[in-house]
Amino acid sequence: MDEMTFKEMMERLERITATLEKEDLELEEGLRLFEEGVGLIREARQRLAAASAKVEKLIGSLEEGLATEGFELEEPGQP
Amino acid sequence: MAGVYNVPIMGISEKERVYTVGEVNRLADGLLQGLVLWVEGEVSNLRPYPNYSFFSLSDEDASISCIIFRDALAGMDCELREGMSLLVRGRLGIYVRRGQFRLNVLEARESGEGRLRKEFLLLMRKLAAEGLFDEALKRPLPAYPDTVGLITSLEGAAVRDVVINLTRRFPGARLLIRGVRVQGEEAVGDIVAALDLFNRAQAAEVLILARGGGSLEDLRPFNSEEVARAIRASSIPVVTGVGHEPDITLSDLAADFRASTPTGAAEAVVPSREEVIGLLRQKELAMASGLRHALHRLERRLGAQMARRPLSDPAMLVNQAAQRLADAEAELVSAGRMSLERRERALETADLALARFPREYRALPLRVEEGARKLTASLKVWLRWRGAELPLRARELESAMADMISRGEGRLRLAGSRLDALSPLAVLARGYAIVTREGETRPLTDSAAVGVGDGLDIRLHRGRIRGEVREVRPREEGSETR
Repeated sequence: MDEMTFKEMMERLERITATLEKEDLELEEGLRLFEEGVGLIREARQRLAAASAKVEKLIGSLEEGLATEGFELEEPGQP
Repeated sequence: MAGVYNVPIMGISEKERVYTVGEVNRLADGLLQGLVLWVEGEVSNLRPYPNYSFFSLSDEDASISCIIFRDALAGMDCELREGMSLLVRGRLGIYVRRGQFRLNVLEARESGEGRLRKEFLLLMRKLAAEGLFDEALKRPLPAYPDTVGLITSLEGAAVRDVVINLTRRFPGARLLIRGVRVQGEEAVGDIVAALDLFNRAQAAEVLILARGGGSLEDLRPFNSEEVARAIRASSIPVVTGVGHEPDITLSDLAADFRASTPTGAAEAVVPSREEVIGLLRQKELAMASGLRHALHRLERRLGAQMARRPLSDPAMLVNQAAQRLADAEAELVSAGRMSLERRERALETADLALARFPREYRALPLRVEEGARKLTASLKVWLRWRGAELPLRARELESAMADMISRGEGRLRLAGSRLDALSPLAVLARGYAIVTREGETRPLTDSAAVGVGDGLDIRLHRGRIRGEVREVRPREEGSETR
C-alpha cells in the first residue's frame, strides 16, 4: 500500500511549509509545493472525517503466531 | 418467622429452637458484649462516605473490616490514607443486616509507615538511585502514531475509557489491545509479558499501560520492580494511566509519560481531531503566505528590471528576441552580399577569361557561363553551410523566449486565479496606484522624471485618472520609505 501514513503526511507538510517560507524560493517551485501541500491537507482532512479509529485485540504469542481480532466494547453499566 | 414447630422437619426436634437470621446476628453481636480494644494494622480498601468511612485493617495474615464515624475521624491528627499504619481503639460487633464482623473505630492515630508504603519507598529509592526514573531517559511520544498499543484488563472501566476517548479524538490511529490481568498474583507476569510482546513484535509506536482506580494493595503490580523495569526497558515509549489514585506508582515514575487516568493516557498519545484540523489550517495559511512572499519577490525583481530598462512588460522579452533575430538576419544578409561579390568576381573572372579566348573559341562562353554557374552554385552551398547556424540559433532563441514568456504568463495566471487575493495586482486593491507620464508605460519612480505641467496617468485598482503635475519636489534624504 503506497498510501502515506498520517505521520508521513504531517512531516511532508512540515517540510513544504518550511521550504515555502524560505527567502530564495522560486515562484515555480513555490506553486508546485503549494499544490502538493493543498493535496495533503485535503487528504488529511478526509481521514480525520472518518468515523473513528480501528480497535483490535492482539491475541496469540510470538512463538505460536500473533493475530488480531475485532474488539467491541461491552454494553456500559457495569462498574 | 420465629417459633417452635410442632412437626419435626429435616431432623430438627421439637425442643430445638429455629432462629431467624437476624436473631443469629444479634446473638453473635451480643456475645461480643461490645468489647472495646486497641489494634494496630495497615489501612487498605478505604471507602470514604460523607458521614463515615469503611476500611480494612490488616497485617501479614489477617484482616478486619472497620467503620469509622465522622466524630472519630474529626478527632484524628491526620487523614486516613491507603496503606498507612493505624493504631485504633474500637468496639467489636456484628453488623446485623449483613452478618458482618467489624470494628467500630472510636479513635485512631497513625502508627508509622505502613508496610506496603515502606516497601514502596525503599524500592522507589533503590530504583531512583539506579537512574531508572531519570528525566533524561523519558522519550518524546510520537505526534501521530499509526498504532497505539494498550495493555490493560479487557473488562472494566479502564479499557472502555481508553477506547472511547482515543477513537473519538483521533480517527487516524489504530488501537491494538493486549488483555492482561491487572491485579492478583499473575498480574506482574502478564504485564511484563505484554510489554515484551509489543516490543519484540514492534507492534505499536506507543504503549498505554492502564488500570482503573484502586487501593495501594490493588495497585501492587504497578508498584512492582519487574513492571517498573520492563517499562523502562521498552523500546516503545510507554504512557501510564493508572486511575484515580492520588499516589504515584513506580510504573508512573518509570514511564515516559504519566497520565493520571486511562482517559488522560488516551489524550496524551493522540492529538484531538480539532487540534489537527487547526494545525492543518495553520499550515495552509503558512503555505499561502510563503507563496505570497515568492510572488512579491518576483514583483520586486520585475520592478528592478523595469527600472534598468525602458521595457515594462513581457513585450520587453519579445523585443529582445526580435532584436537578436534582426541581428542574425543582418549577418545573414551580409553573408549573402559576400556571396554576390564573390559571384560577381567569379563572373568577372569568367568574363575576362572569356575575353581572352580567341574568337574561334567563341563557342566556349557557354562552357564558361556553365563554370560560373557551377561556381555560383557551390558558393551558395558554402554560404548555406556557413550561415546555417545563424538562423538556427535565432529560431532556437526565438522559441526559447516565447516559451519563457508563455511559461511566465501561465505561472502568473495560475497564481492569479488560484490566489486571487495574493496576486501582485491585488496590491492595487489595497490602495496603491501606478503612476506613469501621459502616453508612457513606464511607472514613475522618481519625481525628477516629470516637470510641472506634465500630464499624468494614474492607474487604480478600478479605473484610471488623468492628472497634471503642479509641483515637483526632489527626493528628501531619509524620507524614503521601503
